[in-house]
Amino acid sequence: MRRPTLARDRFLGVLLLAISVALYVVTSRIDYTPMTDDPGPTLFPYFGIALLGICSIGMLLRPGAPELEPAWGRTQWLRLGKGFLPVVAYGLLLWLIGFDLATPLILVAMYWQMSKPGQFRILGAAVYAAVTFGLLYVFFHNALGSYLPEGILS
Amino acid sequence: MDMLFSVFGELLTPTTLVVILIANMVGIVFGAIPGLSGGIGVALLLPMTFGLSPVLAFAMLISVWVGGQSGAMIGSILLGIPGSPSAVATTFDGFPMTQRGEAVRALGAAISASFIGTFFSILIAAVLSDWLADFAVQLGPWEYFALGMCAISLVSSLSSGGVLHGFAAAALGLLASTVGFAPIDGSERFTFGSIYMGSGFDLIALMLGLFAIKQIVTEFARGLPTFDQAKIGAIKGLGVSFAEYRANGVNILRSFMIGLWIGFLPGMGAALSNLVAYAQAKNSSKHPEKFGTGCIDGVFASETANNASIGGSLIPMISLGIPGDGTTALLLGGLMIHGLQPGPLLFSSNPEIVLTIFMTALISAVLVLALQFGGIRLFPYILRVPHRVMYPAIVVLCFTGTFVYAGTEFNFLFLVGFALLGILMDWFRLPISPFPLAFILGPMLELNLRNSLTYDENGLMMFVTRPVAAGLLLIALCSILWPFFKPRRAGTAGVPARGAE
Repeated sequence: MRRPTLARDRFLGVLLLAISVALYVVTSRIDYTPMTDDPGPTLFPYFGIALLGICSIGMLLRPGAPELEPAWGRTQWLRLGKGFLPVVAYGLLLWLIGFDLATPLILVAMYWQMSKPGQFRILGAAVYAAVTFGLLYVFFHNALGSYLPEGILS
Repeated sequence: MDMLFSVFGELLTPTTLVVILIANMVGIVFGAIPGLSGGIGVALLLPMTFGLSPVLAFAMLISVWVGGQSGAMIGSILLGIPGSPSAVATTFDGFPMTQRGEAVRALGAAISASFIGTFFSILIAAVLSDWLADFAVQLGPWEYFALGMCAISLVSSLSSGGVLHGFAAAALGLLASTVGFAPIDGSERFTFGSIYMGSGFDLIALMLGLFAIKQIVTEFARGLPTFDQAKIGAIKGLGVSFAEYRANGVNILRSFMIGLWIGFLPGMGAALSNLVAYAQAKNSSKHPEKFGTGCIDGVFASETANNASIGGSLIPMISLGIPGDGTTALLLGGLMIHGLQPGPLLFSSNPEIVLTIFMTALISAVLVLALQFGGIRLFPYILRVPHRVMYPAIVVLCFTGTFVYAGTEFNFLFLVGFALLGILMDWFRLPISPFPLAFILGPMLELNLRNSLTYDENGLMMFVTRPVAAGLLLIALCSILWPFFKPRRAGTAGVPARGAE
């Protein structure tokens, strides 16, 4: 176990406290018609906000949760960004061009991204994308009768 | 009895049996691969069950869960890397046995112990759930609110990162559950005028984003470790002799009881039971010095306990509608998605679903036993499935499942947003488990809190004067305070105790 990082806990405490205050303001503006004996729809959000607020103050006063694994370096964060890119791109492409075009594209792109150096073969990637796309399409569209994203540009 | 035969007949039709078998295989693969888990398998399959009958849907989900729980030992024994936290203790002796060339013996012990743990815990759960449900119908909103808070408190205080971090994650989950139209009066909360936010955050997008997408992106950031080194050597028989089973009879029985009990308690489950059972087996052993060096007793203890937790965790989920961990929270979400009301009334309103869950788990236990003994030679290949084949398909499945469930691309924002939230929570060391648990229990808690204050003039006092509610809230309070006092007693003041998440 590594040394606790106090700064991160304090930062989290401040962040959660700010979220609590913001949510308190939004909750206090919820418009509703009071019903007899019912405490109303704001009670439970206030309950959650109070819990979050207490925890955030606790973190400010008593920081120091232990590190469970070595802290990530610049390389890992960069890879995290790279890993997130196709996920976000796929969501956008599904919205724009639909399942039929976006899925094979993203399957090939991720196949390439996750291949080790020298491992990537375009034919293998194409076969993989075609088979995976075909199986998913048959399952969701033909077997389950579900609609799939069509894309606003299609 | 007619219902029993009817459900049994439906589960034994060739189509359903094939579905169960395939789901078992998927579960074993997901359980075996470090980084994935049976829980992620359940999350991925959940959207695929919308078009299916509830019986077939739950046959599928339960089969993945049972397969995943058992399959987690494969990575533990062959690589020394547990497939999931439920098989951590299996690595202590399982991997040294592999290094000594006794992989088949370790796998044989783990497979049979998994079967014993699952099969008999399900039998006990079926009896106890019925009994507990009869009792639970007498509970009022005070008890249900207290029960939900007790579950959240236990999960939060036992999760990694400390009690403050655990409760902060739970509070975020509770607040996330309040987005959309409020129960009882239908007021709009936190929707900011968006029609897409009216029904709140989508459970499927939340689960897939928080568990599957986050896990894949994180694994990619870690550099996608490969597991080409897994080998099992020559296979002869089942690996374990009858004398070894007999010698471990008491160990298996004790580990089974530990697993069943810990599985029953919210927040603990298989991730803790395998460690406790292992420690007890070592303490009670005549040769404790052999533990950790490749002692088969340790494998028996760990694998019996973690699989016995399946039955244990089904008891509160079925009879009370209270999930004990992430996977049972997913299954509970599955019940809701299929329009079923979890809780004690499920026994009278949809007894076929209750029977399906228990009987599928029993059938799965037998099939997983056969699959694993029959496919022992294939285990190293499971661990060698390339990431470039597995992960892109999972990402596509997550997006497709989210769309199929919600019918709108807007929910992709939730999917990506919750994946990002999961990564941020990891960085801040906020445990993930309390978040979805609180999110799922939130509406039930709110409804019961508001009802409890409405039903009686002294609604608030009833939490103290009704013994079951008061007892449960006391347990919740103790679980909150316990980590603050424990370090002082142990002489490690300043840092709250951590447990398995």
